[in-house]
Parts: sequence; structure tokens; C-alpha cells
Amino acid sequence: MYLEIDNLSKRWTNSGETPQVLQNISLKIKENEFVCIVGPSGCGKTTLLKILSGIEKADSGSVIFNQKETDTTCQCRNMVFQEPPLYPWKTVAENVELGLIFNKVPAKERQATVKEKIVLCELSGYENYYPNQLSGGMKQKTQLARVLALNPDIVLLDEPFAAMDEILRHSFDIYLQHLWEEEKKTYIMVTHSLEEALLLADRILIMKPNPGEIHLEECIDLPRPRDLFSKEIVELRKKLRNELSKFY
Amino acid sequence: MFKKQYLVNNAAILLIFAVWFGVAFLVHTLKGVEFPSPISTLKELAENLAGKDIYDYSIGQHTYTSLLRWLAAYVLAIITGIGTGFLLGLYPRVYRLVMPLIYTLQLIPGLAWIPISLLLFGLGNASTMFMIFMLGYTPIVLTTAAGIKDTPKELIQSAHLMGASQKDLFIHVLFPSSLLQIINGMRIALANSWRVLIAAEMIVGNGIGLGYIIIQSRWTLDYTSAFVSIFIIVLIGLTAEKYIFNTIERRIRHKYGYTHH
Repeated sequence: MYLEIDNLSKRWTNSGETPQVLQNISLKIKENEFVCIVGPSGCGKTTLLKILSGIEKADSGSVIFNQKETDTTCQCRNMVFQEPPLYPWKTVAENVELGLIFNKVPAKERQATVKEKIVLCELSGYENYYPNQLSGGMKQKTQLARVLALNPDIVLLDEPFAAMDEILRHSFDIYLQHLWEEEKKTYIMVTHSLEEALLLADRILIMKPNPGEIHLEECIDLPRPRDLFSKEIVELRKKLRNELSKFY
Repeated sequence: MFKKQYLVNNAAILLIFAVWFGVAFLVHTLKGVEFPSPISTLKELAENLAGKDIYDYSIGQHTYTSLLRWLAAYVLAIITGIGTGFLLGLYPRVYRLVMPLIYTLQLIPGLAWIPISLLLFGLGNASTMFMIFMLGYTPIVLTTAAGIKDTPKELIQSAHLMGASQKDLFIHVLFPSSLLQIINGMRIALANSWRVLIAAEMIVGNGIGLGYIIIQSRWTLDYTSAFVSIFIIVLIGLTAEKYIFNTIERRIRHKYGYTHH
């Protein structure tokens, strides 16, 4: 198995209470799988992503990647945030290049990779723009290019398009699907939108809060691009919606 | 809009001269004392520039000496201030240990440094420069440390995710992120240290400098020379503030995409 999450648990220890954020999460994810995690606020889905990325540590349990246990950040995994953490003093191209500089990639190779990812992520012509000159969508594309430039095996996405309106988000979902099909990688995406999950995922996980657990798994074996108004999707949507509404 | 601002700026200068005129006129008519007006000051300045010495030195020598004293101590304050600020911003333990000391130093008024510097360095250049240094050092330390600590957590986190070393993090994230605050500290330090330079020269200067002119004019009743000195002091301060710091700050703000005010 490619990525194995075994009995992961986590509590917050800040205030007097210590709520169980994650309880005994076990999960197996295949190479190149597109997994979407949905669930109400407070179900620990973002925490799960952060543990997978290595920036947050679990209290117990383990993350096993390619038969090796890992609990720190590594270039095999990277994360896409809802609010793109771009460096305002660097241009689009410089932002995309930065991770490669950190990883001591030779300059020539860096230039080639940056060029390639700029084209892939539809940023051509914007190389020398500063983040403040970009729309929210272009910023998100820059973040994606920056993450993909490091060629991670696993891309973790934390509600990347949540700030967009429905129509725009749909076009970004198609864009993301295109990126995933171009460069096959494992994508694990947290989202609030069932629609988004139904459009993209090989598998949808519904999480429930208090304590954070996986409530239900649904594999979607439909070809892409998917029609959100097809009979199968509409029916699936009804079912998952019913399941989700139990937690509100 | 740009033109309007230009007009307002010029009007401000006119206002300063108008108030100066008014005060000089009132003091003269009400108290019968000769108060140097803008005209007599500028006339005196013109004569000084044409070669008339003030207290054995030309106006250029006075100004040059003051500037040199100030610059040496100010540059030293910038270098050590930024260095200390980085240490404080990067290491929380150092911050907790050293910050109270910096705050305490900052609370000491400029003139209060006179006895301390005299005790430490005696009369002379070293005392003057010590005072300039102390007044410039603390604001730069404070703003530099704050700049490092204010770096958005997300920017640090994503650098870690991309595999940044501590050195990478400093060069590519922490330093550029605190740059505006550092410049702001340099600006405060400039004003502080330039002001204290004059005070320091009045007490511990050695016969030359813009501050020396002011204190000397008190004994010789040559107040016009004092006004010439004040005029030059303000002019230099304004130039540094408006043309050097504003330009640098505007460029950085523009590049980082922060709004102007």
C-alpha cells in the first residue's frame, strides 16, 4: 500500500478542555488516487492534512509512506492552502523557483522546471508579476505551480477554491483535474463542497466531529470528465448529503 | 492629484515661514527684542556661505563636522541595531532576557545621556558619538525584532514545507519580511540621533559643529547665527526624511503591493 495511515489520534491541549480532534483514523491510499475529504467544521479534516504534511504531529498512530514511517515534512509531500502563502517580494516566477533553490537544484534545471510549471499551470505572461498584482485565482495557480515544481508524490489540498464563487470554482476544479491528469500524483483534498468532491474524487471520505472519525467511504468509479447532472452523480449526491446532514 | 499634493506641500513650507515671520514681528514689537526673522536669517546664511566665518570656522566646516560625527555613530547604530534585532527576533530566550534592557534604554531621554557619556568618555568626540549611537540603536533593535516576529506564520510554514534551511528562511523570508519595519526604525533613529547630536555638541562638543554654534551664540548674543544653524539642521533632517527614507519606503511598498498613504 502506498500511503498508510494507522490509528492516528490527536487532542488539542490548549484550553482547559482537551477535545479529541482525531480518533483512531486508519486509512489506506493508493498511488495516484484522488481522495476528497468532506465533513462539517471541527471534524479534524484540516488537522489530518497537516499531520500528513508533517507540519503537525499526531499524539499516537503512524503515517507510513512507501513502507517507511514518516512524521516530518519532506519533499515527497506538499500542501496547497486556501490562502496562497506567496512571498510578496518575489515575482510569480521567483515564487515558483523558491522551493527549488531551497533544495539546491542547479540554476539551469531550475529555470527549465519553472518554465514548464508556468506553462502547465497557465501562468504564461505573468512570470514577472508580483502577487499583489494578481487576482485570487492567479495567486492560487501560482501556489499550485510552486508546489508542483517540487514534484511531490502526494499533493495535499486544504480547501483550495473555497473562497471562489460557484462558477469560478467549477472552472478551477476542471483545471485541477487537468493538472492531476497531466502529472499523475496522489491528491488528497479537503473541501466543503460535495459537488467538488463528486466531480473530482476517486474516493470520498465523510468525516464526523466530536471525536473526529471517518464516518463513511464512497468510491466513485465513473469516468472523467463527469457530468454533475447525470443520474448516478445526482443519486450519489443525495445519499452523501443525507449522511452529512446528520452532523448539523 | 499629484499636483494637488505638491501644492499642499509647498503651502506647508509657506506656513512655516509665515509663523516664523509672525513670531519675529510680535516679539520685536511687544518686547522690543530683536528676534531673527526669516529674512535676516537667510541674509546671514548667504553671508556665511559667501565666506563669513562663525566662531573661527566656515559654515561648511561646522556642517561637515556635525554630519560626519552623526554619520559615523548612526551607521554604527544601524549595523549593531539590526544585528541585535535579528538575535532578539530569532531567539525567544534572548528576547525575554534582553528586551527589558532595550526598553529601559529607550526610556532614557537624550539629554540624560550627557552625564553618562561624560563619565564614560570625558569631554570630546567620543562622548558625542556615544550619545548619537545610544539614541539611534534602540529604535532599530525594537523595529527589527518586531519585523522578524511579525513575519506571517503561513509564510514560514510554507518555507519549511518546501525544505528551507534556517539560512534560507532568513534570507528569503524573515529578512525581506521585516525590511519595511527595519527602515522605519532607521527613520526614527535618524530623527532621534540627529536631535541629540545638537544637544551633545552644545555640551561636549569641541569648538566646532552646528550645536556648538547654537550654544556659543547664547554667550555672544549672536542669535542670528543660532538661527542659521537651526535652519541648516532642519533642512538636513527634512532632506534625509523626505528624499531618502520616503523614496526607499515608497519603492519597497510599491514592490510589496502595500497601499500608499
